[in-house]
Amino acid sequence: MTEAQLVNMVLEATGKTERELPRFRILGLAKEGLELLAKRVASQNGYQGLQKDFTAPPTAGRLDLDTLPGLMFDTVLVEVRVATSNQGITMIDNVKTLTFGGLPTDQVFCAREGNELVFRSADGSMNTYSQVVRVKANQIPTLATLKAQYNGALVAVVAELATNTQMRPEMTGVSV
Amino acid sequence: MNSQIAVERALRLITPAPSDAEMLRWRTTLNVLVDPARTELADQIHSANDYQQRELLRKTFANVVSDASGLASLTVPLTDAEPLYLKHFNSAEIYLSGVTRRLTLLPDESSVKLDRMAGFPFGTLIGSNLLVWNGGAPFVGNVSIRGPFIPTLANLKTELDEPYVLVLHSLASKQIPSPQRTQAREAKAVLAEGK
Repeated sequence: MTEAQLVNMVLEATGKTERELPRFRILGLAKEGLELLAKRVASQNGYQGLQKDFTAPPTAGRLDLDTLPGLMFDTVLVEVRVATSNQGITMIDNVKTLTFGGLPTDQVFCAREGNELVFRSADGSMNTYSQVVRVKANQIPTLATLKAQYNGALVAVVAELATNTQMRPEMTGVSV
Repeated sequence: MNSQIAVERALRLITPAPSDAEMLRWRTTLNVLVDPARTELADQIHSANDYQQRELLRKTFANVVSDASGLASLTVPLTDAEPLYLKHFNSAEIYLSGVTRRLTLLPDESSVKLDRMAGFPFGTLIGSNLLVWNGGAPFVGNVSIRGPFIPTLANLKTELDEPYVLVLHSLASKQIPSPQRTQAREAKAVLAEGK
C-alpha cells in the first residue's frame, strides 16, 4: 500500500474531506496504525496472517531479539527452527528450566530471557549454540510490506485513530 | 523415537486440548520428564508379568571381572548409555566363566559365603559391586550378565513407543500408572482416568 492509497482510503472510510482530515494527520498515524493492527492480529486466532520469518545467528548461545526489526516476540506464538535443516527447536517456558531441568540431549532447546533468546545445544551446553535460526513470529509491517488483504483493516484502524471513534470490530483486523 | 516425537505425541493425549499458552507449559513439563519416563517405563515393564515385553528391555552387558575377594565392580554396566537397571537386578541371568550353572542371587553377603558345592555359584549385590562365590570360595574371573536395562529413546523398540508415550503423559499429568496400564491396549483406561 502506498501513502496516497492510505490517505484516499481513510478519507473514503471516514466520509471526510482532506480539509476536515488533513493528509499529514493520516500519515502521522500510519505507524501507530500499523502497530495497533499488528497487536490486534497477534492477539486473535488468525495471528499467523501477519507472521514472517526472521533469520539470525545466535552468538555464544544467545540471540538478541532487538536486532530483529519489526519482531513482535510472543513465546506462545513463535516457532524457532534451525535455518539450514528446518529442524524444530523446542521453546521452554523459562531459562531456569532450560538450565537445570534435566532436559533430553537429543535436540536443541531455547527460552526467552529479557530481550534475548537463550539456546541450549543438543549436548546440553548453554553458551555454544551458533547455528543460524529462523524465528517465525508476528511482525509490525511497514506500509510497503503490508499484505493487501490487511489494507482494509489498516484503513479502519487509522480512521479509528484519526477520528477517535471505535470502528466496527470486523473492520479492525480482528476478523482477518 | 526421539524426544520431540514423544513429547508431541504425549501432548495429543491431554484432554481437554490445551490452549497455546498451556501447550507451552505442557511441552516444558513433558520435556523435563523425558528422561525420568525412560526409567519409569523400564520399572513398569520389569514389574509386570509380560515376559515378551520384558525381554525387549534385557541385554547382555560387557563382561565384568571379579577380583580375589570375589567382588566385581558393576561401574561399567551402570554407566552404559543404556545402563543396567539395578532395581530389577534379581531378574538378571549371571554366568561365571568355566561354570555352566547360572549364578543364584541371594539377598545378603553372609549366605553367599556359606560352604557350598563347587559348580553352584552364588552372589549378592553389595552397593554397586557384585560379590560372587563358587564352592565356598571367592570366584576370580569373567562374569557375564544379561539383565534389565533402561533404554535410550533412540534405541527404544517400536513396540515400546506407545507404552513410553503413555508413561510420559501419565507422569506429566501426575497419574502414576500401574504396570499393567502401560500396555497399549489399556490406553483408553489411562485416558479415561485422566478425565
